[in-house]
Amino acid sequence: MAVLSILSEGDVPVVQIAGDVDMANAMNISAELQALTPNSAAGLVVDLSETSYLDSRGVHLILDLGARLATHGQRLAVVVPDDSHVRRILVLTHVDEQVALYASAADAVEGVRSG
Amino acid sequence: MTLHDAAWPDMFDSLQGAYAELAESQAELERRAAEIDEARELFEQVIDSMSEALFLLDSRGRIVRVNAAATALVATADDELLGRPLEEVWDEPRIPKTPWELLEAAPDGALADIDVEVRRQRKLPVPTSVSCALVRSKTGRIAGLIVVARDITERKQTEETVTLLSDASRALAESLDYEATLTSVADVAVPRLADWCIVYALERDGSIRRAIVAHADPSDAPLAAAISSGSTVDPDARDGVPKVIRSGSTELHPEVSPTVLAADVRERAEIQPLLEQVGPVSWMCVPLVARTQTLGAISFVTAASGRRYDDVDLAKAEELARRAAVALDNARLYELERGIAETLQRSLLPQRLPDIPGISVAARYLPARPQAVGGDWYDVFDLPDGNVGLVMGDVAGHGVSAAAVMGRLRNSLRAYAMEGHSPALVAERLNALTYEDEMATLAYAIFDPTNWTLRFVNAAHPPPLVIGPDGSTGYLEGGSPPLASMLTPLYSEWTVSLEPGSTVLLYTDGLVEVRGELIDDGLARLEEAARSTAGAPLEEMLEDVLARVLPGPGAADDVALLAMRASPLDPDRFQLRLDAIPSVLSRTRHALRNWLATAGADEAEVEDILVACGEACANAVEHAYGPSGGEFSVEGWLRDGEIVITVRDQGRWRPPRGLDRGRGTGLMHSLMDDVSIDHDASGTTVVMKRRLQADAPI
Repeated sequence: MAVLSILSEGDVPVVQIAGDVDMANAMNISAELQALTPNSAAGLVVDLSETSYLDSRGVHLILDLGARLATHGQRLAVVVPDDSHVRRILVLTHVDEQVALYASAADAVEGVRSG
Repeated sequence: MTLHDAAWPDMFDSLQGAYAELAESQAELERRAAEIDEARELFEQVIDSMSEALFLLDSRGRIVRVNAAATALVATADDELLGRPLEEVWDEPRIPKTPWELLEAAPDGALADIDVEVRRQRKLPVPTSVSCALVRSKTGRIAGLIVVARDITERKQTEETVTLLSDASRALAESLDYEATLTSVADVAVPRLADWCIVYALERDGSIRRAIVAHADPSDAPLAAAISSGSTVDPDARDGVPKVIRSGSTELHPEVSPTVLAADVRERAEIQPLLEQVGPVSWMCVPLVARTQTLGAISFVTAASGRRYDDVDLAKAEELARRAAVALDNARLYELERGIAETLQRSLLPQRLPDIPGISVAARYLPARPQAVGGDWYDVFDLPDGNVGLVMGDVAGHGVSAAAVMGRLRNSLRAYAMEGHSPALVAERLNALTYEDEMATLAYAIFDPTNWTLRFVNAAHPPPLVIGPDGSTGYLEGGSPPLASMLTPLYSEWTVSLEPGSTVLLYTDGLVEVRGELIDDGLARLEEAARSTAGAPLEEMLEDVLARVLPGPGAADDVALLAMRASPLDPDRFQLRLDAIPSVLSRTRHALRNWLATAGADEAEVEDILVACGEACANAVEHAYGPSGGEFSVEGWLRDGEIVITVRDQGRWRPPRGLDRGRGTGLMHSLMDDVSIDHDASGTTVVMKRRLQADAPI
């Protein structure tokens, strides 16, 4: 079970996912995140600092979302604390090679804006 | 008139005057005699036209005068009666035969309302009321005795009808059970109205069921059984009971033959000899109609009594049937409502109890009969954070309305609980949702398997009982007002620590409340029963507790019981069987997390193993996912400091699709020391191993 919170809107929306991301909810979260990104936005920041569980379904979600946004010329940045288990999963699956990971939301927004 | 010693002419005058006076007197006498004759004739007419029988006896008790009703009463002609003592023609010991006998019985010379029965040959006794009075002359001498007898058949019949019908009303009001009501009807009718009474029920499919066969003579039981089992009613028969049910009109046969009675039976040849044995004399059949709907019919048959039915009997039968139909209609509606309430309530009780490793749950629900379904409910669910919610509630009242309130409370409670609210807050919210007339009690507890604590709120519900593994017992103290309190009550919650292996028992008051007994006695009985069965498996424990605590087979109130036992997790072994649906994944992680901590894995190791195992479980769900569903199992061992996890499913293996699908397998390999995946026709087995850094379990 996970809860999505829109932390800020504007040219770079920040959406936080609190809770577990698994096969039971990954598809819905993916659809919701796309809907939360207007065409006018420069990109999207997904904050995983409150995410308690994430496996390959979540990894797929992030990579897929990054690819979709890229087709609109939009960028994706992900917030994960340095010592979090979620970061470990993203690194083990080489997500960090395709999507920029940040330790704070402010850095992530700045990263999306600066391109 | 006087003669004076006077002169002749005077005398002549006087004589003349005297003669005139005499003549006048003579005319007067004649007129008076005529008047007396007239009066006597009138008197004769009056006494002869009296419906009461009148006997006038002289001072020695001989009949000197009777009227027409009297000759009819004793069936003897007028001239045969006169001059004879009364007892020769009417030998009724309770009636005085002479003035002296009357004076002995009643010093004031009058007796009224002696109820006797007059038997005339070969006829039914006639209930008669007799009054007697002395006849005295002007001088006060006792001259005779008047005996007046009145036929009170009609009054007696009215009285009997009133008694029959009031007995019927009482018997019919005793039960709301349909079959029991049918039996009551027959019991009232036999033997007062019939030697045999058969109650027919019109079934929904149009068939006619012979529901009850009652008989006055107990020795007729084998015959009644033979008729009941050996024959069925043909609902399409032209005559007999089906005709009464179809037309709604009555049948009255003062004389009836077995052939007529067999007219509506399919097995006519077999039943005819049995009916010959019954020896029917008279038959009437009346429909059972309530609110324009025909529910069946009642047949009344006389046999050994020789009684012949008439219009008066038919009127009684019709009135009895009218009352019976109302009672049956009520019973039917009641059963209908109870059926709805039962279905509603059953649908609100959990269909299956959650399977959580280390936690066993058992429940019982015993609806009270013959009372209506109550508002008891219980619920048990696992919460998103891995805790277990336990609920026991009792809505005041019975039937559909109580079940509906219960449904609302149950669903609201689940919703608030899933939101993660504390027990006290949940109770407060529920209280806000209930109306004044929806009083309910509730015990809601959250068990946290990671730290063995139980947090609970008790809204005026009987206190939960905790039974320790050693058989020690204790009620959980701490209560708050019931739900639907008029004021805004404050709900407090308490937290207690449970010893591993403890059992928490929630129940409704039906278990401990016995009428005429203090509730403390019931609580003591429950505690004693729980103590004596403490070591038994949970299901057995519940059976034992019910057997020892409930006073008898029929509980007066509904009884619900819910027990949860938290066994200490075995650090060496973990086992879970699950439905192959995505929603079980989070529950699996909670359970596995608890076990891994017990087995001594540190936080980072727990996270790694959870994701690796999560991948295997997600695959299992995916393989088995389909309309038919399926199950999969997760097992864990701790062997020599190494965690071994096996995930097994019976599904069809699907090769990974694209790069993404291989990512899960890749993660398993990255997070675990060793991974093997075997798939064959029977399913897929994934075995993963991970050596723990710390050797000793915590």
